[in-house]
Amino acid sequence: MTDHAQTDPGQPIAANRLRPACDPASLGFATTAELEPIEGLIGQDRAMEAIRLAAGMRASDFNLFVQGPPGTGRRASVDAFLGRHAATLPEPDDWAYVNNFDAPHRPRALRLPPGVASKLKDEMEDVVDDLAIDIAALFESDDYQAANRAINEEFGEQQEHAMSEFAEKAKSENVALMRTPMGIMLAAIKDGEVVKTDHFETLPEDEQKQIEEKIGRLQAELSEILRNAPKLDRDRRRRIEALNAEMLGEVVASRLREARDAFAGLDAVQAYLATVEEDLIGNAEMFLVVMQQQQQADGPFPESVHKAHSNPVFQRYMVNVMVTREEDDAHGAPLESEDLPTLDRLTGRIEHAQQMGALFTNFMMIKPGALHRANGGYLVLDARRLLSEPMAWPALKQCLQSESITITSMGERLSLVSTTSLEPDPIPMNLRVVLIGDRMLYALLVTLDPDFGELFKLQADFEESIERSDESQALFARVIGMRATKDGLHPVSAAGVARLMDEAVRLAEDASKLSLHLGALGDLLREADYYAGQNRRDQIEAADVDMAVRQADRRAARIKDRMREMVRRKTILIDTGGARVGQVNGLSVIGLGGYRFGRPSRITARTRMGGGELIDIEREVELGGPLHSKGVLILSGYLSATYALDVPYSLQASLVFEQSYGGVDGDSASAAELFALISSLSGLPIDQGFGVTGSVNQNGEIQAIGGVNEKIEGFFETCLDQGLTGAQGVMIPAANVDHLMLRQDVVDAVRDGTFRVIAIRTIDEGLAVLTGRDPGTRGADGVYPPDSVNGLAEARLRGFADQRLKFAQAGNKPPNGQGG
Amino acid sequence: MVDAEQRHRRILVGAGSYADARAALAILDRIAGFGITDIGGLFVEDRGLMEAAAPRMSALVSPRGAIRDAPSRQVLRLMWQSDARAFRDRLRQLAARRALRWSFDRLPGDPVAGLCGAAQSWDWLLIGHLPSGARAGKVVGIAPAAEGGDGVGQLTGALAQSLRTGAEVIRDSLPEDEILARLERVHAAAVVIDAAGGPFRTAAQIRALLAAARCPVLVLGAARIPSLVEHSTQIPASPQGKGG
Repeated sequence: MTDHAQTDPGQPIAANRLRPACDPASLGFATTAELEPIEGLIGQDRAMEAIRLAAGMRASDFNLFVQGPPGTGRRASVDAFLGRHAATLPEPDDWAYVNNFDAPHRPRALRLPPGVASKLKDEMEDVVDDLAIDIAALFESDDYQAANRAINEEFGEQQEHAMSEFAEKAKSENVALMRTPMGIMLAAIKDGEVVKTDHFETLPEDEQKQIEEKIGRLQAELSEILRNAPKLDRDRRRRIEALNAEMLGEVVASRLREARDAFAGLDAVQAYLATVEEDLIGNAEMFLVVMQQQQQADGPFPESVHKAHSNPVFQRYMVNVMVTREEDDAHGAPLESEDLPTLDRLTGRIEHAQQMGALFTNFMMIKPGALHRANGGYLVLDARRLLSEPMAWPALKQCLQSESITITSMGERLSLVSTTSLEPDPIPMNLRVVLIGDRMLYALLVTLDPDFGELFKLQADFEESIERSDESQALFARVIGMRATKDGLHPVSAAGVARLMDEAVRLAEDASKLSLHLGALGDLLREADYYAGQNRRDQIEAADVDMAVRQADRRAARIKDRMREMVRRKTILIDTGGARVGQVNGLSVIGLGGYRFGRPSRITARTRMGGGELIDIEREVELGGPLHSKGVLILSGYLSATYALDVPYSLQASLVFEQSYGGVDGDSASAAELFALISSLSGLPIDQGFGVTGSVNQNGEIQAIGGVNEKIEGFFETCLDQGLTGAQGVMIPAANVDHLMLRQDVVDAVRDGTFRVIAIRTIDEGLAVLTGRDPGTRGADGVYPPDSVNGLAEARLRGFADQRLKFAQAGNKPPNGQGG
Repeated sequence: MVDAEQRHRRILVGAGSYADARAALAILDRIAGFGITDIGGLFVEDRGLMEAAAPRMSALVSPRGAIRDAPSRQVLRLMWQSDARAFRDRLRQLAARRALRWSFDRLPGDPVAGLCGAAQSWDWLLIGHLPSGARAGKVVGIAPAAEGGDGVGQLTGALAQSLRTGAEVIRDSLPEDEILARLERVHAAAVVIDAAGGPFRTAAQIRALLAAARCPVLVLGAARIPSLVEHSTQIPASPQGKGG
């Protein structure tokens, strides 16, 4: 829009160049209601191409990292584009976990066509409910009871027969069977009475032996009979089981045949139902137990009301649906996001329940995560949140690398807990992960994680600003109109749009660009809409936007106001008039969140003879950052290469930001520091009506800095507080002229001639403005004019060198041990 | 008539070991709803065992078939003491659960005769005997052809239903030997008789019945069993208000 070459160096910049505002008349509409809505973003073609590619690529490692600052519409555009694209993709399969009857700790994953998982779940619940009634009826049936009774009686009589025969035999051999707490005691009988110990001793030896032999023999026989009882009982159980299997087999097979028919053609389901049938027949008695419990517990409720499948006993036959498509779900592939991407929420989790003080789990306690839900489609995650969740990033990488979802709890991974857990079948994974983050995160991941580049081969880099042109301004107006419509706001007048564009320029810090931080502009628009409503206007006017800007500034300006107050009350010493040697007003920017403001700082320099040392007091006390230190060292290079080149550099100088108690960083004050140093060397005072900003290189060229608008406005406010004289102003790098979008009150002051903004390209141009004297250039003899700024500075340095030489010749040690 | 409406029925449960007592209490638990308000426990210590228990002339076989030496007198005393305590505790628990009054005592003597004698002041007598086999056999009742008012058949059926097993009623008109022979062959969970009207009325008959049935025997009309002992201070007193 502007060309800083058109600005006369050292001369005030014209008011119209300080705020290249958008002309509402150039927009060509009255309000945004007249504009065609615009879909998508403007100025983000590069990023959108990357998103398009990520959406289309099916390779597992072409995942996408969307980078850029917040508020540029990254998330919304990703959601909108991927949502549209996902709708055109085929619906992914359903997944469910079912019991593994052979190894319950390794649940089986079933892959099913879309919508089938929930049907299978319902079918299995019906199977259990039906069988609970059918099996109970079977066990109660006369047929079954008769057969069961026959088996029991057969085996019972076998045992009783043996005992009966033994009892008869014992009786016939005169042996009594006496019951004791320890078992059955065999004792000899003589004459109808049990032989007592005393009596036994009196019997003849032969008879004693006979009794002994008889007791021993019968004892062995009884032992054999009693030992045989458990074996008989086992045989009986096997016969009962065989009976159950035979009779239940018919009931179960009949019901499962219906289930098989319902899922004909699905091999996975057919195989699963076969294992269910086998297990049902083997565990049919659980139906009886449950029915008995229900009859006791729920007396008043009719049997048909019972839902047997809700009984935990029958969970083994249930279906745990991980992901399914309901009929009323949107068609196409899923587009999922997870706002809290913890490990559990990402990969799913295995829950545990407490039972009798111990933790237990089963396949029904497997819960799906975002990866399950997004499988077959897209998963959008916030990169910072993902990386801040323990173990979530490694788990995601592992799933992407193995192309399968493996559920592992954090406690298990860290070996923190020891309890029964599951090893579910991994579920094959086919999805695109989209991470949204800032550029710093992207740089860190690329640098520090070798897997990142392998797995996230695409990046969508969102622009922060767009070139300002008639075309882009027209698009921008449509974006504002669209935003107003979408948010239900009043339409925006052309003047309002123009005012918003001025703010977009200011946000971009470049008069030739429009900021694409639509989030911040949207906030401004909504607040302006509020004021428009308060003023009973049908459209948002420039005044409403202006009010929103001022109010936002006022809400955030408490610290700025306190600082202005301190300057006004001379707590912080800033002169905006007069002239002082070795003192200049530097300008700095303080940022708090999204709010930034400028403030002046007094920079002073002191010089004397020394060993070429330039002391940065800020650095000495560790208040200066590395960029500031770099700027100061450049000054040393400039001075040593500019003045008194034929004598040793014999300067000792110190520089300080007065009354600065926080840190100082950046090199935007290096020009001001150099002016202060040269002023101190030359002894020429600097006009205190100026604030100075700009960095300087070793050649004395002034370079662009950031926050130029805030710095000018900050110094303007200080001057305003102390009284505008017309001689005050700010000196800025010429390279920053294109970045100007000053507040209207500053522009008005310039227009009224009470304030100035002067652009400079070199140190000499600045010295001329600040000292009001010719800086001087070396003549053909290589010498600066003696009364020029540079001439005086050089003379002073030569004086230091002479002084130092004399000092050394007098036998003193040179300062800092350096040779003269 | 035996039914749940009848109240204030008193039953004496007797056994010579805890294993037998447990089998009897399992049956008692099932019939507690038949108007039973008082339960008495009587642990009978068969002192004849002490006289007969000696090496060479006697031997022991555990319920699981393990062969052991006959217990010494001291061991027998300890076992009786231990089993009696366990019997008492189990009885107390059952009474608490069913809100019944209870009493308990120990008695030396012949198990069946002692129980029959002690049952004079009780309505029913339940004699404990550990049945063979892990599964409950059928419930056998010995009752007249036409069920009169004795209630044996009704109680047999109810008990069988409660145990989820079969029931069999043997006509008491059959000769006693035939009944016993039949019982020898049946795997029974319990046998129900009526001492007031059936063929098994004396202690000796009941002893033979118990030996043949090898399971708990529930004797209705226990007061009608002819008493061999006119008076014994060791018979449990009426449990009115006595908590063990």
